[in-house]
Amino acid sequence: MPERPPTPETAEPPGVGHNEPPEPIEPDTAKPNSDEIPDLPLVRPDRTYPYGRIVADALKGAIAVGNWALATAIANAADAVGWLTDQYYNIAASLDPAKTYEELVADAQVKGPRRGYENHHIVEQGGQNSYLDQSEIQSGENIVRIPYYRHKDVQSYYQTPNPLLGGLTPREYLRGRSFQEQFEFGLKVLRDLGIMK
Amino acid sequence: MTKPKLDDFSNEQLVQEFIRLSLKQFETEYEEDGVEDYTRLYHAIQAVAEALRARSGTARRALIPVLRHPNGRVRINAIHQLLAVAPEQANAALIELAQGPPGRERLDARQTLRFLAEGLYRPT
Repeated sequence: MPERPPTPETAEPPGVGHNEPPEPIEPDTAKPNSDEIPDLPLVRPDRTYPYGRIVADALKGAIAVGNWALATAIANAADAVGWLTDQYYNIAASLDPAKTYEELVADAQVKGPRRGYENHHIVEQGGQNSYLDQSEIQSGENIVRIPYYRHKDVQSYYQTPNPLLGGLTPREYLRGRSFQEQFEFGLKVLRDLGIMK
Repeated sequence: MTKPKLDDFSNEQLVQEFIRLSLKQFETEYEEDGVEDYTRLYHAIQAVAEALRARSGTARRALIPVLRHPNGRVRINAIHQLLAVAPEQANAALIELAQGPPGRERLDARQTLRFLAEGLYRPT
């Protein structure tokens, strides 16, 4: 026989998970500064990607400082134009906090694609690394699933000249180095971009 | 119309050109395929920096005020030109950028600090 619920006299004070209504929350009356809301064209531009990035960065900035009124205003502005829907998954994914290496690897183990994300090889696959053991490059430990926008950042970083490397691209700089050296370099890139803890 | 030569620019004009190109380079970070434009702008920025370097030893210091520019790409580009000639100011700006929000500029700043600490990068 199921136990009877306690009477009001015998009931313990409500704890976590009780059904009492929550304390009223002070409404966030701070008006967001319109300068902080991205300016989005009313008519769909040829490329929606840059605007998705701009909205994602603005949202991330507002959330980072706990300015929910601004975050809501940015989301509403993005929704209002109607043409940014193809970037919604990318925007949402880009709001992910940094994850551990283990979490990023586990995400990549999930079968099938996930919208807003791409799998990234920490040691790059491709001709430039043809001298390395390909089974290491394709091993689960070398593949992480990261937000699409962040993946574009990583790809762009590896392909563009860098003054630290005497004007070489990181891809050129890493050519000829061991798997382990490239792997450690790649982890630092993920960490510094705020993708990995 | 013929494009003016960088040699004909005043120091201040070179600084303004440096900022303009750096801001355009920042914009390419928001492009889905901005690698080619980023690279082209990298070389254009290097050319402006070289024009300053070719002048008196102090010409490059005209970039010092750029360390306070609101855009992180502009700042990191200036930092690389100033580490050798204004190390204190450039280092302070570098540390601030390395502690900033995640992104390409923070990556470049942190990597610069690491390369400096490990002796892999000697600014000239």
